[in-house]
Amino acid sequence: MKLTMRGCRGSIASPGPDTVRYGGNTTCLQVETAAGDTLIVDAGTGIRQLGLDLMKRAPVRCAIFITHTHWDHIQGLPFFTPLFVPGSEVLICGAFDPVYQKSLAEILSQQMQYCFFPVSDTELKGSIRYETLREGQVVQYGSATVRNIVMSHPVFDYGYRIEADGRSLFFTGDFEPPVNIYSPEDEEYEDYAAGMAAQRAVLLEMLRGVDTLVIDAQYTEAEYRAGKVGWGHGTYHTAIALAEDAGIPRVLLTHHDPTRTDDAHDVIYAGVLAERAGRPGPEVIMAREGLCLEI
Amino acid sequence: MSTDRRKLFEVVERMPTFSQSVVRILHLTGSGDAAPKELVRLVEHDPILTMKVLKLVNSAYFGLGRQVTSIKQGVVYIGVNTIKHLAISIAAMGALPRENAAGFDMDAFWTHSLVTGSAARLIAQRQGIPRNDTTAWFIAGLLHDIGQVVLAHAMPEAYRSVLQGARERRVPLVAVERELLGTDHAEIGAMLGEHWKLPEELVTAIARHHDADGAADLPAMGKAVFAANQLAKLTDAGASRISAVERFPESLRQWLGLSLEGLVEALDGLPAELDAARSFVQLPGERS
Repeated sequence: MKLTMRGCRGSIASPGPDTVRYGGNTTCLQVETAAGDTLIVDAGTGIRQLGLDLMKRAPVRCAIFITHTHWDHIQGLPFFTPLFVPGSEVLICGAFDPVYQKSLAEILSQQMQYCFFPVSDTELKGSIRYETLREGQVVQYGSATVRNIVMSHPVFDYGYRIEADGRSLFFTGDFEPPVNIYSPEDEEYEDYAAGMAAQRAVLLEMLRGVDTLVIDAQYTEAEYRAGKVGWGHGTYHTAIALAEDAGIPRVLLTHHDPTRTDDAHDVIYAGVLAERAGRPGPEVIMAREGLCLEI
Repeated sequence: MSTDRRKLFEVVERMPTFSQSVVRILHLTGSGDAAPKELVRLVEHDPILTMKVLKLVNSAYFGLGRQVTSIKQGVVYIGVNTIKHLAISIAAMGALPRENAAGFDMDAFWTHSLVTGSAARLIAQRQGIPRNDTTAWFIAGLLHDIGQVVLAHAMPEAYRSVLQGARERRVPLVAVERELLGTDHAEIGAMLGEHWKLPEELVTAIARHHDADGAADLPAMGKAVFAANQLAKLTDAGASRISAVERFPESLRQWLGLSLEGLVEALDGLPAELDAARSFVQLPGERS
């Protein structure tokens, strides 16, 4: 199973001279199994070039798993060329939005309404099938098995575990590890902490045996504490800590902050590696656009 | 009654929450930097809001892999933001009028529910239930009389007669409900709990909170809710005026090792909980 990072920027695409090396496109992961099945997780702006590349071996057959419907995870979809081409077969999977009571199909077609985009979803020529996933629902797509779990984020967000060829990878989508909403002196503090521990145990069970973890690590600890708590994203440290807790040998840090320059990334990455030098634990990789890994 | 029961559920589905909760939630969330724990407290203290939020998160809409049994667990599981949006959308449907055609005093009902919930939690702690597990006991106490609200709103005229009969004849409310309506609020509350897929022990506690004869066989949560309900009536003249304190079964006395009066003395935290419940039901600036 091969993973290619097609977009690792968070929040909004940020092209420019300062983001050339890590890339400015928003979230999109491409997974190819040995049997040739193509799975895509998230349809941020990175999916545009992926679509063009896939067209070189048309007809395109692929499955797209959406972690959640924030812009940076769906905005590239109207520019995914295979959707417009007869003969393409695209399966799109994701959660029902329980707060707005809209299916994934409704939400995605809304971003193709005429005021936002010149072509409506009814004009797409490819064969497109939507599947609304319950938590824990297993999807078998060719040689790949995909499981999901609800992750902690301001909107309903699925993390996906993809297994194929005897290997497995997990992508969190956007993820902020829960923080205790009570202070230690509050009576409810321990009750809430126990709930958090139970939730963590369920997540660790889902991560058991995963070979590579791709995880939201948008902030430094200092940035996080200085006003980003509750924004729905993790830090470099919380990301690595989850990989350590779950015993995962390799972790890819992604969902880079749009204001983070390549040079700033290099400094942070060097700092993270220096901090970990000589310690056991996962191999830590700063995700960058185009990075291709054998899982 | 069978045809009426569907109607009852429909009434509850549409039933708005308490006006005070609506004001508080809109005020809290409108400020932009609402402390999550304040929001949790508001939702947890409103029986209808609690039930509706739990019903929604456990519905097929969410398709969750595990059952959510408390607001706190819901916040950990699906996030405070989602719970906040649910609470706002439920609150935005409007508020229960504090006056209604049945002459049912919503403020007194709410105060009694909160006191019973708090007392059930204190009893749970006293019986050695780990603190982390006592939230469900609070919810059971909070919801035990929810059937009364359903009946008062589904059949206001008939329920006015029930309330009047219980008051004038000094007969337990459940007895008059059975006599005049052919059902009672415990049964209706439990049906609602089942319909909304609440945990079985909670449904049992609601169903049997007047079952003095069967109290010996009740699971611990049911025993605690039975005792908490009587205790709340003993300590609150407002609640006892529509339904007097009932016989306290010997089996409960043995389970607690105390009489009902002894229990009031033994629960240290009770006076503070009573004050908190009364002040919670009032809006800021409002005098009783």
